Amino acid sequence: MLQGGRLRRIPPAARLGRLQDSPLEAIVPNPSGGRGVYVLPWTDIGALCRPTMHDTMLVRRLSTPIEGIERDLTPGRVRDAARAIALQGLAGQQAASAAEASIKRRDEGLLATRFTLLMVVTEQMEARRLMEPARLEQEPLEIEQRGGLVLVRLARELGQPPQRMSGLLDQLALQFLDVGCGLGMANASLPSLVSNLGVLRNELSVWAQSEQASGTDDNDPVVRAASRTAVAVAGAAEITAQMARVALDAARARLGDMPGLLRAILADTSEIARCCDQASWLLDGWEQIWLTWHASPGALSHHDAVRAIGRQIPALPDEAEGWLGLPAGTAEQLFRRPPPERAAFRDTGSHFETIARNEHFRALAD
Amino acid sequence: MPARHGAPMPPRTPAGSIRDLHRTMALADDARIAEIVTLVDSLPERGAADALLVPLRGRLLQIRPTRRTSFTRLLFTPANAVVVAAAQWRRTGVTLPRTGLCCLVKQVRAQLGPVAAEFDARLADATTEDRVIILREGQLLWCLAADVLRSAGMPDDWVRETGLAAADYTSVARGLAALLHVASRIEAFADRVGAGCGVPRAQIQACLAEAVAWSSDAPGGRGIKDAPGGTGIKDAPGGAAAIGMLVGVLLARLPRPEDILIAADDVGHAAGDPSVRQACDLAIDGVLAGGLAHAQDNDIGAATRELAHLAGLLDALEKPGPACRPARKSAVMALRRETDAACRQRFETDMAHCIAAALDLFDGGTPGGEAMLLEATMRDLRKFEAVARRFGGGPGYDRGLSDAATALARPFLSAAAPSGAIACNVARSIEILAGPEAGLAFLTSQPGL
Repeated sequence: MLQGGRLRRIPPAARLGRLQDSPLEAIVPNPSGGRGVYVLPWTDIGALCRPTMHDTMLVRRLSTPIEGIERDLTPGRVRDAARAIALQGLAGQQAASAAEASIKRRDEGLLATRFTLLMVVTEQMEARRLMEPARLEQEPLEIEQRGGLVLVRLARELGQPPQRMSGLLDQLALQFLDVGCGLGMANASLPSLVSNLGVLRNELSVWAQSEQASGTDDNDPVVRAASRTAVAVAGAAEITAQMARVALDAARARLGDMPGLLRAILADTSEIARCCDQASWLLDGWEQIWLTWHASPGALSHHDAVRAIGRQIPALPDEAEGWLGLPAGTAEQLFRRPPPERAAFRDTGSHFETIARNEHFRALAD
Repeated sequence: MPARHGAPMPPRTPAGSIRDLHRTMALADDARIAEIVTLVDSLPERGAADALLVPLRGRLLQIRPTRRTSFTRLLFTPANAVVVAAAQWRRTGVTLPRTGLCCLVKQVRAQLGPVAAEFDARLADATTEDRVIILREGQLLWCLAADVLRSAGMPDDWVRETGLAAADYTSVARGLAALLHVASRIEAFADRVGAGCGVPRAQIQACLAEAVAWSSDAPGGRGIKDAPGGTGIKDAPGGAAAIGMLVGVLLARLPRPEDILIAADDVGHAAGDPSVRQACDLAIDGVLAGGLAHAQDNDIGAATRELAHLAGLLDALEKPGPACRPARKSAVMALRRETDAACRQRFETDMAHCIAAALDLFDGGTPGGEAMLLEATMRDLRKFEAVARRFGGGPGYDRGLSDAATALARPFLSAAAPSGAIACNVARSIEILAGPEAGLAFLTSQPGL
C-alpha cells in the first residue's frame, strides 16, 4: 500500500535509545508532490496507510536476520521475500501459483546464467593461452569439461581450491541472473523492464498527446491533469531507463575480465553485488508502474492507470547520483512528482479494488 | 380455429403455451438466453417474438449479451436509461414508454425514406460491442431523427399501437427529439466516465442549454399542453419541458448529480424559464421513484454502482442547492430509510450464504481456484456494504462483519489446526471481512505460521 515507497533497515546508530518494534523504516515520496521524502519507522506506518496482512508478514520476514546477520535490504532480497510470502498464499491463490512458477523459472535461469559465465571465463582463459576459444555452438558437455579445466587452472593461479572457484561462479550467476549476460541477455528481468519502460514512455507520450487533441474543452482540468501526469511519468521512465542502461552496461563490462573479476570477488565479496544491484535500485518500483499501465484499458481505464502511476513514481536512491556521476540534487529535480489529482469520484470500495489489483500484479511480477 | 367469416385466421399461441415458454426461459442459463436473443434479433419482423423477451429483460440487463445493432437499437441507444415498461410509464416527460418505440421508429424510418435503408446496410454486421460504428452512425442518425421528431405530427396508429393517449405523443416525441439532438455529446460524456474521467459542469450546462434552445425553436415548440389528467408540466414552454428526458438520462449516466442539477438551474436562470427547474424536478422524482429497486438487483456489482449513484443524488438533494426542496425532504428521507433497510436485509442474506459457502469450502480441504471466487464474492459484498453505509446502518454493518469473521474463525480455533494453505485462506477471508488486524490475529494464532 506504500505507493512509490521503499523500505530500509534503520542504521544501528539511529536505533540507540529508541524502542523499535521493527528494525525497518519506510522512505516515502512527499505525498503532496513537493520536494523531499518522508522517512518514518515501520511501526508508525499507520499514519500514512493501512498495511495489509500480506504487507505486515512481508515486513516481519524482512526484519528477521538471515543466518543471524542483519543484512541490508536490496530490491532483490525484497523480491525474494515477496515470493516466499506469496508462496504461502498470503497474496492469494493466483500469486501463490505465480510465485511457484517464478521460483522454478529463476532456478532454470540460474543454471543458464552459470553456464554462460563458464563459457565466458573459458573463452577468456583459453584466448589468453592462445588456444582456440570456446564457441557457443559447441556441445555443452565439451564446454563443461573445458570450463572445469579452466576453473582448476584459475584456482591454482589464485591460490584457491577448485571447489571455491565453482562456488564463486555460482555466486556470480546469482548476481547476473537479473542483469543478464550472453545471448539471452535481453530476456533477463532488468533488461526486459528497461525495454518495457521504453514502451511505457512512448505509449504515455502518445496517450497524453491524443488526450490533449481529443479534449472537447481546452480548459478541462481533468484532461490537463492527466496529460501532465502522463508526461511526468513518461519523462521519469525515460530517465530511469537511460540510467539503468548505464548501470547494466557497467555491470556487464566487469565480465570483460573474468579472471580479474573472480580475483576481486575473493578480495571483497560484496563489491560486485553492489555493482549489479545498482540497476535493480534504479528500476525498483517501476515494474508495478509498467504493469499498472499495461493492464489498461481493461482492468482499469487509461485515466485511472495514469492517476495510479502518477502516485507511484519511486524516489530515486540518493546514491544514484554518485553511481552515475550526476550533480547533487539532480534526482530530486528529475523525479518531481506531479501534484495529486482531485480525488476520484468512484467511491465504491476502491480500497478492495486496489488490493485485488495489487495482488494480480504480484502474480504477474517476476 | 376457423374464422367466423370463412377467412383463415393466423394461428394463435394458446396463453398456457406462452406461460410455459416463459417459465422454461426463466430457467434457461445465460448461454441459452444469449442464443434466444440472437435468434429474435435476427428475425426481419420481430412482432410477437419480441414478447418472448419481455420476461427476460431483467436477465438481459445482467448478462448484457452482445446483440446486433439494428436501426432501432441504434436510434434508442442514448435513451436506454429512460425506457420503461408501459405500466411504469408516467406522464412526466422524463421516461420513454417501451410501447411507443415501435411507432416512433416507424415514423422516423418513413420520414428518412431510402436513407434508413442505407443505415440498415451499414449496420448489417455491427453489434452492440462496436462502439466506433455506433458513435459514427449514431452521430448521423440521431441528428436526422431529432429533426423528424421535432416537427412530425402524431402517426395515425399511435393510439392503437401504443395504448397511449393522443396527447402523449407530443411530449414523448419532443422529449426524445431534444435528447437525440445532443445524443452525440451524451455518448461522449458516457465514454469519458467509462474512461475514468469526470465531465466538467460547463460541458453539461452547454449540452442542456443547446437542447433548450433547439427545442424552443421547434415549430410549436412553445405551449405544449400536458395530457389531460397528467402530472407533468402544464402550459410550459416546449423547449424547457422537452429536456426532462435529457435530464433523466444525464442523472442516470453521469456520476455527479449535483453538477447536473446546478447546470440545469443555471440554464433555467439564463433562459429566464422556470419550467427548466420543473422538468428537472420531474426527472429527479422519476429517478427517486425507481431508486429502491437497485438494492434488489441480482447482480451485486450493478446494485453497488446504482446505489452509489442514488446515494450521490440523495446527498445532492439534501445539500443546500438548486434541487433542495422542503417538499421533497420527507420523500428523500423516506427513500433513504427504505433503501437502508433493503440494503441491510440484502447484506445479511448474502453474507450468511457467503459464510456458509466459505465454511463448506474450507472444510473440504485445499480450496484452490474456488477460494479466488469466494474472495471475489466477499470483496463485492464489502464494496456493496461501503456504499450501503451511505444510506445509514453503520454500526449494524460493523457488527455483521465482525460476526461473520468470528463465525469463519470459530471452527478452526476450537478444532485441530488447519493446514497452512487453509489457514492462509481463512486469514485472508477474515482480513477482507474485518480488516488486516483481525486476519493477522487469526494467522498468528495458528501454530507454525
